[in-house]
Amino acid sequence: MTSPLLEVRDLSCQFSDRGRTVHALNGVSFSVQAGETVGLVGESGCGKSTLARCIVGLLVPSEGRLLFAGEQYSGWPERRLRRLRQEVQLVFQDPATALNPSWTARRLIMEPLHLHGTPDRDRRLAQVLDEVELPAAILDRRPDQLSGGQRQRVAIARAIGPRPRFIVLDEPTASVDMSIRASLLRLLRKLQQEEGLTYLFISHDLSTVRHIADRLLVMYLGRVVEEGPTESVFDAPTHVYTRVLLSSIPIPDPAVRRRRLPVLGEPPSPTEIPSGCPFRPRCPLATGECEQPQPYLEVASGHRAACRLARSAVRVRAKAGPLVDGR
Amino acid sequence: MTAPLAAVEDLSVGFEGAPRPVLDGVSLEIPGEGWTGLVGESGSGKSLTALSLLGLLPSGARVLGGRVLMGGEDLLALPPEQMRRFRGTRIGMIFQSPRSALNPLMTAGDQIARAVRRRSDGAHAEREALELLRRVRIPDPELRAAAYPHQLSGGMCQRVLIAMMLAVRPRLLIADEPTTGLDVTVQSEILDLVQALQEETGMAVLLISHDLGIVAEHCRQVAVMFGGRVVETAPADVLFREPRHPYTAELMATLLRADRPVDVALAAGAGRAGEVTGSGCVYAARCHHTEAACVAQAVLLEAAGPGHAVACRRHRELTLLSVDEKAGVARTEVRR
Amino acid sequence: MAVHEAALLQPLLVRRRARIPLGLSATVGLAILVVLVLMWIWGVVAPPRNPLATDAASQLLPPGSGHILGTDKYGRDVLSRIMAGAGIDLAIAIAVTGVAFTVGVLIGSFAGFRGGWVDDVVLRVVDMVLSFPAFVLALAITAVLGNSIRNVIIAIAVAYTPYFVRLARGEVLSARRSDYADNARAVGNPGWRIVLLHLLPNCLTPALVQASLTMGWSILDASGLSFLGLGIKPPTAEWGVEVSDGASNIVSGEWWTSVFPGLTITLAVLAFNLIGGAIQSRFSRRA
Repeated sequence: MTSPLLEVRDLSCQFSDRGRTVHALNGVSFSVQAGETVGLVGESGCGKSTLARCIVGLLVPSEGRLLFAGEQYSGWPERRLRRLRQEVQLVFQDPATALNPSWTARRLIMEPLHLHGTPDRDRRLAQVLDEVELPAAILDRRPDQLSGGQRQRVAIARAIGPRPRFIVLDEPTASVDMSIRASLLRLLRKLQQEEGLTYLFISHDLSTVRHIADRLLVMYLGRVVEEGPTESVFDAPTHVYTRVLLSSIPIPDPAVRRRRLPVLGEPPSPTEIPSGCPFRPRCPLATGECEQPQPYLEVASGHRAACRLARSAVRVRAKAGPLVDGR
Repeated sequence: MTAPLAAVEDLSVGFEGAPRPVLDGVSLEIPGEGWTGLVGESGSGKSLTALSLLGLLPSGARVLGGRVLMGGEDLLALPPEQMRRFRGTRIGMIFQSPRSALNPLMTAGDQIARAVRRRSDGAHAEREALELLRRVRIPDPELRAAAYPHQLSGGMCQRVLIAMMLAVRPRLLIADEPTTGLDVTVQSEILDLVQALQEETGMAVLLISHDLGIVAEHCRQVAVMFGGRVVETAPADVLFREPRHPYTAELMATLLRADRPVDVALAAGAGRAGEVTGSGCVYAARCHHTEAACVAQAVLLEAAGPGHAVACRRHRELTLLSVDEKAGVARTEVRR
Repeated sequence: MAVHEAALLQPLLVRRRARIPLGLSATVGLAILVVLVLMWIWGVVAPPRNPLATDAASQLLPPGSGHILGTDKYGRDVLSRIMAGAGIDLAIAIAVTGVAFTVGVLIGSFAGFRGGWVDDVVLRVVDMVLSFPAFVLALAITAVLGNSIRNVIIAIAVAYTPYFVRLARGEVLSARRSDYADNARAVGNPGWRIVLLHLLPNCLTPALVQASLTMGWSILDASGLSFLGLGIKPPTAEWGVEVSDGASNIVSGEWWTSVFPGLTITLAVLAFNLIGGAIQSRFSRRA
């Protein structure tokens, strides 16, 4: 098996906020192979944004290691990290705030080419613009003069300019109108093929993720609770949280009636992490066993979950039934 | 068919200094029961339509024409004092950022109690407030009653607002993007609460959202807005299955569903941006079936079936096309 | 429910400050400023009379033909002296503001961006200086350095630089946490580029407002110093000097020698305040 492009080993990240310690990440481990798209899903407080920032070096993790192409880069000083930045880029959630409001699109896209010494900058600019399907006319406009979809494309152009290998996308379709979402995903997939990119696609929107991710990671309170090929996770969600999450997604079809699984309370704040399974306090099927640290159990090939239900997966799946009635 | 509870009739609203009206002849009917959905993208005018129902247009906005009818009265013509009473008792609203809708200087419990006192004499307002908090399934109700809005999460603030609505029992509840920004597990709970509230009081709900998923789940009748106009209105199942207006078709064709394991590759036709000019169809610049008449002449809503109206002069011919074709979308379905 | 109404208006409102229409205050301010500048130029090119020429025969003439604003106790034409004063006071304003703005914004933005002990030190120094009222501080510095226009400029600039430091520091501190600052770092920018090219351009508006106000205040301070006999001394035609010279004459009824220069000071400060307010309203962040 080829060595992965990105490796995250036992990553933990804590910071203090108003006197309390926030345990944003608690021992996250996974790897991403070159060319694949890994989807990272979870709700507020699960740590996905923190993870994104640790991976691109904006945040320093408290524990654990990050490796890119086999080389450890967590712990590198800022100066050294800047060289990594050519290879690893981040597309932010909201381009309206992530793009400098007083810069023109041209300057925004040119800057990384400048910083990383990309040869033949003008040609690359035209090429990138073409790839993100933006007309040259937008180059002299500022972010507030562009539509949401155009802004996001400028943000993407800015990221891919210096030919990175790995891009973390933090909720890239969240601030874009729904009719644009599908075409943005199509664009991202096309770019992946043309430029040979690897994506980590972070989203809370499972409808979007299903259409782009090869593999899924489900996070809760700073831990990965389930991981596997997208279809496998959607077909056989094992961890109770994954089941609850999937059952809560509204389906845009009046003919479909979904069955929602009950869950207690609200997504908690990561200042107090329960022992054992982090979902335990809200899980309707928790037992005493769940107070112990949960190992990852195999559900199917490449699909594992940190939940005792994985053991009885076949039996429980029959009981829970398909995701949606009448499918 | 019974008369609607409330209706917006040919409403036009403009802002000072804006070349075009922001709402241009919007007509909408809200039946007395069940959920009605109002969908559209950002800038389509859906929130402004809701605000006009409440008589709360922002300063700088001027009504250029039309009426807003409820209970036989034109709400736009009511004196402010009367409108305020309307708002407190007959129309209620919950919003996208619930925390900003609450008074930051009063505890949650006090605010609910205040709402209770509007309806009854208020001797046991605090106790009722607590009971209402329990009804909306907020964890630790006593604790939350004594908390200030900034100490509560977005989902909890929304529950507090719903509790206030339970106290007020409006005839019409306007829910403007009530779950945007909330986690999807919380979203389901909040909407279920509103559903329970609706069933218990028999009120009407106007759900405004860009999320077609929640609209499909709850709404019986849906209106679609684009560029300040209503372009189509239909019963939900008809709208999703057989949209008549090309814009509605575009929305339906580009939907991403979580229950379908297919890749959808769309042609670049989707999402063309267009500038609205003149008095013709608002969607003309972006539509794939535009003719000269579409740009030149104004388009009105016309009937296309029971409870179904479309603002498209070509909608009859276009029924020959599939949803994808109406939307100008080339779909390649690829199984993983 | 009043609460709902307030909240409903929130996401849609553009923040408005002036109850007077925006254009009006800016126009008035600019108009006054233009008049003052024209007076300055006129005074340099072709003043009605020599501002320094005394004339014993024409002492304390009231406003009227020959001397539009009258003469002072030395027989000098008040109008010409005001024009000459415009040159000095505006020059002081520009110099002070230029120095305070440049030095202050640079120090403040780097301190805010670096954080750590650098920021702490800067903050303490700024706090110390700001604990003195600006005028008193300028007074003390002028007394130490001696009376000259140059020293007045230095003194007042020192007094006002901390305002810019604190302002720039505050803006950079909050901008530092913004998404576009993170984005700038994620793309590979070194720290100094982030501050200078990304953060500063967006932080300028409050600094510009402060600059406009500082122009007005520095005129007040300079005039105040010369009124007290420090800094610029007679016979130099400076507005404060003129007010001081004519102060004793008010009692005896010859009001024009002090009042006209005093009015000019007022108008100048008003103009800069109006402009500052207009900048703030025009560029305040829209929702």
